Amino acid sequence: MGMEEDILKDFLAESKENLELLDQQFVELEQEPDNMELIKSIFRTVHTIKGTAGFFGFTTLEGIAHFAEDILSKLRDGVVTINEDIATMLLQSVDYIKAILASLEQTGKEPDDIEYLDFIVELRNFAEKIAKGETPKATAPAEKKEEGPKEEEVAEEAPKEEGKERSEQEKKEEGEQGAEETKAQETTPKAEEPKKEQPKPTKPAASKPKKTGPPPTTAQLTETHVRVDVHLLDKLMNLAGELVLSRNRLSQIANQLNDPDLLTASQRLSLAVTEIQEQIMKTRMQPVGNVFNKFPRIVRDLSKSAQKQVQLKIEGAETELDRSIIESIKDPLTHMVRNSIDHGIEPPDVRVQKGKPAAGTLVMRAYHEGGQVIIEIQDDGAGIDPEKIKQKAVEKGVITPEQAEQLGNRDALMLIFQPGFSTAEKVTNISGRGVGMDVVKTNIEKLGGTVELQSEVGRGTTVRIKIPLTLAIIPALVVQCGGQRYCIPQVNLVELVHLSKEEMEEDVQVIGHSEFYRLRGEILPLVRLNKVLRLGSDDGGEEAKSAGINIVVLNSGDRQFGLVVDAIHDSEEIVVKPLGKHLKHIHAFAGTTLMGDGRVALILDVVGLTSALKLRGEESLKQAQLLEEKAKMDEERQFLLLFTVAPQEFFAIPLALVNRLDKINATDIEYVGGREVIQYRGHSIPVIRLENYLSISPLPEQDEYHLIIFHMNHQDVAFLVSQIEDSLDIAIDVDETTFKQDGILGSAIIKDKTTLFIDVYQIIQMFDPEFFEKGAEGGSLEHSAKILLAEDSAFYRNLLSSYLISAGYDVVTAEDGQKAWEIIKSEPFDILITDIEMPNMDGFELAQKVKSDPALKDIPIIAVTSLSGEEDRKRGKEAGIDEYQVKLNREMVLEAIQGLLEAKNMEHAA
Amino acid sequence: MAEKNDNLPIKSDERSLDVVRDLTAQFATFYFGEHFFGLPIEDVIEINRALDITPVPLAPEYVSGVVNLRGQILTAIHLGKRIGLDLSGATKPVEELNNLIMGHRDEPISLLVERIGDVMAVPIDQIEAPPDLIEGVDKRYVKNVCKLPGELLIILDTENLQAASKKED
Repeated sequence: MGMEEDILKDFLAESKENLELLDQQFVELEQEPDNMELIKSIFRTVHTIKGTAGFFGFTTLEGIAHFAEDILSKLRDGVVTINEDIATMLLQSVDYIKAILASLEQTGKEPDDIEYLDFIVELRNFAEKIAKGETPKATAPAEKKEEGPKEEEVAEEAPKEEGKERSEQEKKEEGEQGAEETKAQETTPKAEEPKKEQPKPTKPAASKPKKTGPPPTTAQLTETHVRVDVHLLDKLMNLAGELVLSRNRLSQIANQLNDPDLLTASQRLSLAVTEIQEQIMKTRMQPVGNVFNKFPRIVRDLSKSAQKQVQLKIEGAETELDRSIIESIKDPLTHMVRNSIDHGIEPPDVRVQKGKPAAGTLVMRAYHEGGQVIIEIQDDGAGIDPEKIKQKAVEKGVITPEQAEQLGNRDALMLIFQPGFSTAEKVTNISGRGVGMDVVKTNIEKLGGTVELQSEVGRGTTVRIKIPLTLAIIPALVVQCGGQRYCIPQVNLVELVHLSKEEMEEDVQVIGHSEFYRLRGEILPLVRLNKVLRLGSDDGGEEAKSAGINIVVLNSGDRQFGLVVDAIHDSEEIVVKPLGKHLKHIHAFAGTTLMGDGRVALILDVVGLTSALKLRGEESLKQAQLLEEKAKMDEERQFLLLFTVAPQEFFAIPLALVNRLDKINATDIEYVGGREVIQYRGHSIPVIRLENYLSISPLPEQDEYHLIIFHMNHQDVAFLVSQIEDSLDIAIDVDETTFKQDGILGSAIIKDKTTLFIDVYQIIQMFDPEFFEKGAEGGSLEHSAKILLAEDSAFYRNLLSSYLISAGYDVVTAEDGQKAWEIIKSEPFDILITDIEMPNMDGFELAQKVKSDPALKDIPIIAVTSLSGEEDRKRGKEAGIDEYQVKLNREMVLEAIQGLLEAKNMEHAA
Repeated sequence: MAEKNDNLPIKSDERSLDVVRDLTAQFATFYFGEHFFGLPIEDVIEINRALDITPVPLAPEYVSGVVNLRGQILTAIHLGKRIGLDLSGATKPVEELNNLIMGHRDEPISLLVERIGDVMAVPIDQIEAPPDLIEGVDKRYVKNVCKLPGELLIILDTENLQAASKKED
């Protein structure tokens, strides 16, 4: 019994392969009805099934195979040519045979469903009509007959199974077909024949898939293929890995000992081992055609039920891939093909209207590219309309209408990979089953692959899948963290970045608990591997910090991030081994591998790493981008000093104006001439109480006060305040209107508090109207000078004009370069002071225009910025700017004005 | 190895070999802390003194890491931590523990133990159900005990040792 079971197993395995082939061959046959080789090949396959079924006594199976063979024999003899009805009937037979085989595999019995018998009857009638030379319309209702006659007919076919010269024999036997005379003799060979096969059951099986080729070669092919258990291959694979490791150790030792004989021997061994490893790898490779071959049938059925005409072209079916991958791409491919036929390719009438051929073309293409396999599914259908996708996405709530507006076409197309997205307007038999492209994408990404989509409306769609050649051996980058090595699959790798300590301080921002690095203008979230893996940061510590950091930029599907590791080693080919069940649940790891020294290293799962971080990273990333945008919009970052006079009333002044901060006792304040002063470093300094000039709550009585000391116009003056709260570096957005009053430049929300910006110059002038005149030496010429000030920020415009006016100049303001240009053309000015960053026309352009106008070119120009870089200075010089000054540095600005005016007057005088 | 004969609880000359085989069960024994453990000999694949252990971050506490056994990568389970022994006393560092490869052939594990003992045959009738409480040992992992002269052999539960239980830790 055991023997018979073995044969049955072989029969089932063999038949499955053959049937796969049949599907494809039938479809081919429809296109090339005259291909005799094809018909013969199909005939043989069906015949083998029939013979073996007879041996096991599977009558239903035998019956179906028999009548199918009958029809085929007529095709082969040229009595009829294949048409759609015949093909459909034959394909149906194949389906029934498949179903019976499945049942045999599961239960060991044929299904006893009446449906099968009905089909036999139908098939027989069909066959009979063909025999009579008619081409019947399929599925004529048929009267039932007992199976007796069938068995007789079956018996007569059995001997054809014999030997290797099958094709020739078959030719002889063609003549015999239908003739009943040899029935009696044949019982003997029928019984013997399967026994012959017992000792080497693999032979016919292995030869079958090759039989599409010309028959004469089949004899040799049978000898070159054997069936091998996949587990055996996996084991060999493991052992080969182990062999490589032993080899590595041996060559190390050989190198140490430096014995010439040993070295030669070890080198030989080394070569052989490498070769073995490569060959074993190859055993796992299979042509992608194994999957592609299923598609002619699928496409045929799908296009029929969708009432479309589709021509399938398969290219590169010989491209090889690891068998585990081949198995896992079948479903995603099927889904995409379905999509193409259902949504992509238009119905024939629509196509013709559009001037396309009625039959759509679907191309499945596979090829190697850069160590990866690319599989493309290309159709010449309607293409995908990004607008429609957006609309759908909004309807489904995948994105908001605002987001939709900002989406580019490419990004819009990628939306179809979002979960819960299906563009099918109606649910058809074929698609719209709730399995979306998101599943396709997920499955491909699980294999370490990527999916891309290209589509042109009216022209068609191409889906491109990139997958690694093998999952078992992958190139990987070896990195180190916390004293251990980790491997990162190369497919996820984008680039490596090393930052010195200085660069790190400059370009790495911290928001919340997340770090970000600005890589060529893009915000890259940084992930510290030792934190993700919760490794103690015992390694390196301060020392490592001073050496800078290593960033591995990784791509995890839709986003990039930087993984910070301790060290980066080489890139290596690694053999992937799974983690045991105690460790499988750790998302950070994709598996393990053995390194050259025999130790185990963990393989990082890049997608897993990010999913763990997603929630936290997402929010911070948004913040970082916001900040970035804001910083770009408003580059006027300022160091501000925050203080209070009465509790909960916050004030700010630019830190740049402040000379010193100090603390004094209440008793140190003296009254001199009705004014408060203090003795400070040998001088007496006037003290200003802000509440005397601003409508604010008065300074409460305190034992100690804080002093903010300014040094202006060669004199010291101090504000008396209650508390210095903070100093901080922020981008300010000053509201100039809400708190408009003398001495206040505006307000802003800083750290959730409304904070008033003090106009220091104005306050000082209110305190002592002559303060700025006392020290101002020099004649009267500059006092009459007329200044044009171009500055877009109202805050700075007020600040600047306030100290320019207080210095006695006549100031006209303009809120951007364009306005300034209009004004300067209509009025004479002695000097132009301009900001650099302005809307409409920036400072550089304004300067250029002024300097190239013959009437204006003598007007000196001072550029004021909040920060000044060497780069700006250079550009400014080229644009004709005479001086660069920092806005808040009143002294320097005034000095520069004076210097330029004097120079100008000298020129005039000369 | 010297204590082999002392540990043998039965004298072989008393019964025929066949009888001994029928009435005894063989255990591979080992020590962790003060405890003396055994596993059915058929559940033990091999014993390996020291294998390099690669730690696995984020792993459950009782997993010390992974080891390479001739190309096969095994999870190394720290016996003491797995069964909840009090490890505050001086125990050997992980790298000095012995690997006892055990369990199903398809996914064996390496059990890390402090000291390897002998293989011993124990009369089946001396094997008892575990008491309600064994000091410092999680009862889940104890299948049986066997009272030997001078010490208690704790027979561990292969299945439970090997199972990936998520509820704990």
